[in-house]
Amino acid sequence: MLQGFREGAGRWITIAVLGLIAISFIFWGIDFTTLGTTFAAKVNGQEVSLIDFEREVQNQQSQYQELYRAELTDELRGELRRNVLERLIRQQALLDRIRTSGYQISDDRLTASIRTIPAFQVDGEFSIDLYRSQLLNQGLSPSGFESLQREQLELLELQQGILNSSFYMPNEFRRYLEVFNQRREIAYALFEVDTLLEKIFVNEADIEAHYALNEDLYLSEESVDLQYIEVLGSAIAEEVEYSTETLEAYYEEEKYRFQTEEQRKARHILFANGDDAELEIRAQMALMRIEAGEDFLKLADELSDDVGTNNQGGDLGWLGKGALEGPFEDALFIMEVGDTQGPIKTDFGYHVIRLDDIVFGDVQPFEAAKEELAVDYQNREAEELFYSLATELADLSFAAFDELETVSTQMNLPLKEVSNFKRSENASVFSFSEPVLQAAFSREVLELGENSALVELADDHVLILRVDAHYPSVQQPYEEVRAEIEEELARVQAEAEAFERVTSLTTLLREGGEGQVFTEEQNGNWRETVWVERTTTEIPTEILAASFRLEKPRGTRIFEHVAMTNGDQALLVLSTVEAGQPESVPREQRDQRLAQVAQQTGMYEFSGYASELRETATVRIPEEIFDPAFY
Amino acid sequence: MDEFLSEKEQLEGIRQWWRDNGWHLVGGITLGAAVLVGWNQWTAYEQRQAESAATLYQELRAAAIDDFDNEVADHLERLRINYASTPYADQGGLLMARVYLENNNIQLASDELRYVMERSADAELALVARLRLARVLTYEEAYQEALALLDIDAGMFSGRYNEVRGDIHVALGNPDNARLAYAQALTAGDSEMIDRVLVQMKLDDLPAVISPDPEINP
Repeated sequence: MLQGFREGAGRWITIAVLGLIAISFIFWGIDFTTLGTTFAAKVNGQEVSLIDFEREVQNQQSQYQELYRAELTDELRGELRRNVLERLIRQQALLDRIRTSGYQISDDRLTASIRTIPAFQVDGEFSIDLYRSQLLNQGLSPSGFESLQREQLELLELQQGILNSSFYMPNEFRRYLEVFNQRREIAYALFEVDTLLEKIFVNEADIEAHYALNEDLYLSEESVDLQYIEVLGSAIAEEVEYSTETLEAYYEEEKYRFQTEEQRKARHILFANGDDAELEIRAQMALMRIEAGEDFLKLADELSDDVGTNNQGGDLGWLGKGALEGPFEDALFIMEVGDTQGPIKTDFGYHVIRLDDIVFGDVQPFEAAKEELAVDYQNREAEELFYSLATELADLSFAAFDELETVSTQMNLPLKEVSNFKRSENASVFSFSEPVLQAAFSREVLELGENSALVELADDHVLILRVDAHYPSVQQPYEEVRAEIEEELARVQAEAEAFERVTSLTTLLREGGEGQVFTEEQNGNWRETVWVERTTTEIPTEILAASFRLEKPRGTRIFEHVAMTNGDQALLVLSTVEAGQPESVPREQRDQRLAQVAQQTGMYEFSGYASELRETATVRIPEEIFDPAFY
Repeated sequence: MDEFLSEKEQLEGIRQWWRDNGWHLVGGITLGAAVLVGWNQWTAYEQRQAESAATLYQELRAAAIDDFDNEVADHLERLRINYASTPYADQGGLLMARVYLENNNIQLASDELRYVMERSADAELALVARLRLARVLTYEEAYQEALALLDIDAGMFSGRYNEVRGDIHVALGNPDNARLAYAQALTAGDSEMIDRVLVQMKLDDLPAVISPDPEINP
């Protein structure tokens, strides 16, 4: 190809190709990271970074563990990864739309929004010092944070656009009130199992037959006798001893906690755009103008190249030592309140500084801090002791293999016992029984008789256990379960009878009969015609729900059998449906409701927008992401 | 380079190469630089456009909240003329439609929604505008026109589209068609896109399909 270039055959091709190469290097450089999987997904060609994805998965996992105090199963973990990725893909699809559409937040609006974030404010005022240190804590650079914030604002612009323009038409709102405030006229009969139960007699033969047929339903629950040794951190702390000398030494170590640093409130004007010599001269001139009596704040607005502060009169907020670069700090911390100094050179450029206020540092003396120190000291020592005890317990139990008595003697810790410990008896014995159950009924402990591994109930509470005796599940003798079966069969029979009555009553009513007398004769409760609303509370919930699920009757009443959750049976009679009356709702309430539903409509629309974007996006997910071997 | 050639010959070789190729090289770099500069200026221009459009949209929003007058419509006109390629022209149209509705000017509201529906470069936003227009037309009792608008593949919006379709059939007195539309709305994919409780209520509000003859009624 180069030969071709030289011979001038493709002069213009040469020019074009070289140009393209130049452009591609300038814009994209060489990206080695595309070799191997560095992304969790590609959405319309844009990457969802693997780091962001794994970080988010981590967060969710630890939240889950905090909440349920248990490890995730592989299945749940897979589910969680899928959900997190799905959310990030949706987010990425939206971001892509924002970029291609051209939603734009200007620097001014970005700055203004950051300044209002309470986390960066001291006494309601933005502090650049706090801003930087907060970001440092989060592991973010200002430019990184600012671009994230910008993305969020641009997203919000799109979302708010859809929400703020949404509306609800008068006909829609009328219909909404009509169905929402609808009233229905019902009557019902309720036949209660408990009432019918009294007259039911179950044959002995039936009970025996049921037992014979369903033996495997009547098994005793498996249980174990447990032995365990525990280490409890809170018990250790109180026993840690200390002397005044140890506390004094501890005070010296921890002194920083009992001091407040000196803070200085400053303003600056920054000269950053241009070459050094020119900047220095401009800074000098600014200083002269200030000395001549011009207002510092106005000059900051006019001259400063620091976009973060120039609108605020150059205000940097309160600064502690170590917040800013050497020369700036050196100057600031020898100035007097009201002084203006400059030009001072830092990596940012040349500064003119004014010191507005000082809060001097303070030290809390040993005597005042003593009690707090003692508690902290005990906790710290106890923590170390707890870990060494826990480790020792784990080591000795592992060595002892299948008994804990020698461990108990060696460590001088009591060997505790629980007998008849069952899976279903969760709450009683241990503060947190899930991991105890897992350990006690594991193969190693239950079947092989080994000591368990260290079981963690809380950050400062661990134990080792073994199974002393195992009582497997056995068939329960007839006499023990007879009463239980009798009750069960009686209930089934009573439910059937109740249902029968509902059926007869339905026939009777259809033929034009009168319900109340029949119902009461049959030991049921008759509820005479009543108007109900969706919010009515005096009617059983199953009946109320059924009343509103029935279609509108055309001329005749509608009869519906309703099975209650406790086994009772009911017959519901729906006679009339009356639409809600919008006019009967107080004006103020109505307006409030209208604003609410209009806003809600907008939310459904935005949600449709985002989902549709996700559906139509081109998404590529590397297989490894959901391969358990990979994570 | 051939190592047997003398230094002079080598130098001559290099000169010859430069004479043959020098202009190509310089031309290529110049072209690259020109494209680069042009590209940068273009993106900077686009960004300025977008920022000005955003500002104008902010003003429109503020004006719309404050008080409605011709000034508001004027803002939108400027957005449409000067910043048609930005999303703010569409957003401005949607917002104006609401403002017109609040001032009871249904015709102008429909016009704005139709404009966004037909011209927006954002296909999903156009679907939002289409749905809104269908609802405004339903209010105007232009049912057939509204149904025709809704008769497209609305993707993830289909839940809402079906709900509105159901509303229209109710207004037309076609409970069976309404029932079908509401049922489709409830089965359509994601539950976040519609108010399921409300749609269920509308469905339950329909008159019974079954024969009123009590003998057949279960």
